[in-house]
Amino acid sequence: MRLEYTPFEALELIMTALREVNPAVADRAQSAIDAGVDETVEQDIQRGQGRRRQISKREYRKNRPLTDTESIDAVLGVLEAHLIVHRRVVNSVIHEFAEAAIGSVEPPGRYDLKDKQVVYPITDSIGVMKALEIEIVPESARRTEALVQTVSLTLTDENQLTEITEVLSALKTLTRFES
Amino acid sequence: MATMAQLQSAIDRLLSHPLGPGNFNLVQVVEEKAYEAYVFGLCLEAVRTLGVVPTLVGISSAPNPFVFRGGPGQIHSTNRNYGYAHFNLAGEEFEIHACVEFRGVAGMTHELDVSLIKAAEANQCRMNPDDPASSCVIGAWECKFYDKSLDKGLARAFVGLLDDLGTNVRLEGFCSNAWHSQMPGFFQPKRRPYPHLRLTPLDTSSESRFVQTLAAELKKMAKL
Repeated sequence: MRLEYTPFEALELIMTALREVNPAVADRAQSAIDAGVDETVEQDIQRGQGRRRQISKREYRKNRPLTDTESIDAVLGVLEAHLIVHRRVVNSVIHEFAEAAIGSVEPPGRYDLKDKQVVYPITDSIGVMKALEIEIVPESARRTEALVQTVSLTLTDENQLTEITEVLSALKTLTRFES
Repeated sequence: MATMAQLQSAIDRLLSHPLGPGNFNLVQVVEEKAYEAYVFGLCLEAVRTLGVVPTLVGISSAPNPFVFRGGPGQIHSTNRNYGYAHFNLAGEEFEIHACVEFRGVAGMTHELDVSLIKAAEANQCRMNPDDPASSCVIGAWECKFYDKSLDKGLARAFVGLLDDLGTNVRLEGFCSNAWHSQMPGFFQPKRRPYPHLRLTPLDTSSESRFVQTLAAELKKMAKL
């Protein structure tokens, strides 16, 4: 597809808009751009002169900044990671845990330490979505009542996920520059 | 020809989408821990493929909610009712944990993002508070959720950590949604962890590889 704008203009447009709506994600995008890229460079090496001249090749690795086109890919990669992959990861966690049973262990002191622990699964809980939480204040942190201690994992609607994947894909198409 | 107006409109559609950046609150620790929970979930799936239903247990009572640690912690910690999974395979009992610390061969403690361990040792460490010895670790996975190319240092650090876990570990994996061009080569030598790179729900073949590898190892151990 031919494009009316340059990669630089497209990058500026995306980053300016992103900075306005979500500075934290924009910072992550900038960090991905600034990470640059590892590249393998091929070099011709000339040995000897005249008819004895031989040309061999060697490769070496080099860090270089991203081009404008690569920067756009990096920004869209950041958006995909946070907006799509993370949510699909959470959905997967919720579905996988739903297939496990909830159970309890026989309380300490009622059995010999050398014996195996006794786990009582509640079979009704298999196939039922579990309440899952991630601790955001680790146990080593000093407690204050005001802090939110955990975050619940919640399912994201599959249709909306498909929709935003398509929206991001459309943006990728509009930033595919002919080399 | 695509116009500037079309590009602007595509950007606006993304930004204003209900799941777009305009409605997204970035909490890095949640993303990192959710990715560990995802690998934990793949371990549960591997167990289920062997016809065994794993049981979710809490340190002090049935886990409702099931809480994932937000940072490295002890297996016996009673700060919260942290969750883990238990399963029995041909008479052998195992547990799956996230973010638990183990005592390495040299005495230093190491946190494993996701681990598969023998239940007997874990149980003793909960009863008589202690860090489990690395000799009880059967599977060890490092989990990294990244939105850019991975840092090479992560691979080096995990290889160093594994070196101190001793030789009982049967499965070692470096899991990430991301990638680094030099990592597959770094992980190639024997006794280095398997690189489960670009392991996400978007790539079901990479998920299957993880699940099948673990299931095969469990089968071998249980002589099924």
